Amino acid sequence: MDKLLDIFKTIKDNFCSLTTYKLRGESLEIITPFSTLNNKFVSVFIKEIKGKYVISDAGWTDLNYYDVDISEESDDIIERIFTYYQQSFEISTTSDKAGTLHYFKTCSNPRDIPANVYDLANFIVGAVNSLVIRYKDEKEEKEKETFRKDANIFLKINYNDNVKLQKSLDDFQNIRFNALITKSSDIFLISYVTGSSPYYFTNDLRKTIVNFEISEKSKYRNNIREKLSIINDQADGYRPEKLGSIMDLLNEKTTQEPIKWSERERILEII
Amino acid sequence: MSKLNLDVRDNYEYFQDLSYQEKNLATNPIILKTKRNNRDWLKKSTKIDHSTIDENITLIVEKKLSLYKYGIKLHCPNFTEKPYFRFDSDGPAHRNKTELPLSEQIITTPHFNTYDEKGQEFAYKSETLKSEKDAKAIIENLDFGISHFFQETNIKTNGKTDYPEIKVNELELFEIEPKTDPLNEIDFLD
Repeated sequence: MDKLLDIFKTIKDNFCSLTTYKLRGESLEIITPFSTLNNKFVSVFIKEIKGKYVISDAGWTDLNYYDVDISEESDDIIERIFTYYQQSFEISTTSDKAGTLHYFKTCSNPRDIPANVYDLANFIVGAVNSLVIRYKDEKEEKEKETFRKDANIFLKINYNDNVKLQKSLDDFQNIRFNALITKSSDIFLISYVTGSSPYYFTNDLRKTIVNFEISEKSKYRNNIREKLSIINDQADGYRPEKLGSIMDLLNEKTTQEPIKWSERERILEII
Repeated sequence: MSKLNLDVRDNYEYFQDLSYQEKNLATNPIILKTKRNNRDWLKKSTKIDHSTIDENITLIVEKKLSLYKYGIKLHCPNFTEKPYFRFDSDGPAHRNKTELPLSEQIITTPHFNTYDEKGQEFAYKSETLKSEKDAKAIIENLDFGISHFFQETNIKTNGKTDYPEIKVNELELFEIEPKTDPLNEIDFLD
């Protein structure tokens, strides 16, 4: 029993030692025992202003003092995470003269300070962590980018100015086809399919199916001579035995069997 | 980042040489300029010559105007993307994820930031920085910070155990007294 209590005491002592402070003029910095994914302990700052206690992050989150590698991807996800945390911990914001955003809480009773410190610190941990995490699958990004480039080059070499890349039909501007080839008044729509895993590959297939389905509603539908898919049969996500029924759906929407990348010359017989 | 620096891990001895073998700064004084996109920060990058390694090494000095905060870094882009050795006068405490007890894993600023043989980032205080009095002097004075950094990373100035003068190109900026209170003059209450 004593041994277990000793363990508890060690834990409690260690946790307590992590909590320390720095005096900064009229403000008190509390270095909390909460740390971010990139190994920074979170600090909160306390100051008495007009009889109230303000607990703030001193702008450290907005100023990136927690030294996160900032990237602009996934801004929307990060914003949603910030908002969620802000609401959960009831965090307010204000800006200083330089325009830096300060996250803070206030209370009138000093007895409430520890709870506010706890809330703000946990908000900062969550918020900073959301900036640290990488959301995009780098392998998948690379696969998509590489295949797109290769397919684009192949089509450009063979069809020159007749091929427009990432093009949409005028009446459905939101739907872009990887390639659109025109020969006099004939339109040929081409969609690429690839993926670094079966999950991503299937997603890409679904996107192609839907895009071709929408093209059937276009005013240009009578000019669309062929709807083709070029599928990357060399991709890690290409597992023909797993694709089954979704390939049937694709065949309903395309005018030819999907063209495998390893047999890409076939497209020259069609267009 | 909690990601490992593989360049350091795979070339640890080389990294140690870069950090602690003799180097030389030929530029004196170091003249800080305001950053283009942030008028509250001064910065200067200067070339450093290494006694045994023939690579482009830069000494970067950055100083905040409104508060006491500055950073000194060594950067060798051919070796690794991020600066490989840093001094932070202020900012968050670092957690050293080591086998030490939890209570010893916290390293407050001011501290040096470097990497261990696994490529894991870690922070430490020199004996000077562990002294509260010396640490305070370094926090409030960039010149002291530079000299301590030079001592720690074995950098000579013009071949001598000397330290460069730090100047600012806009003299009015020298007049700005940094504040100690980061919550000064902010409207928290409506």
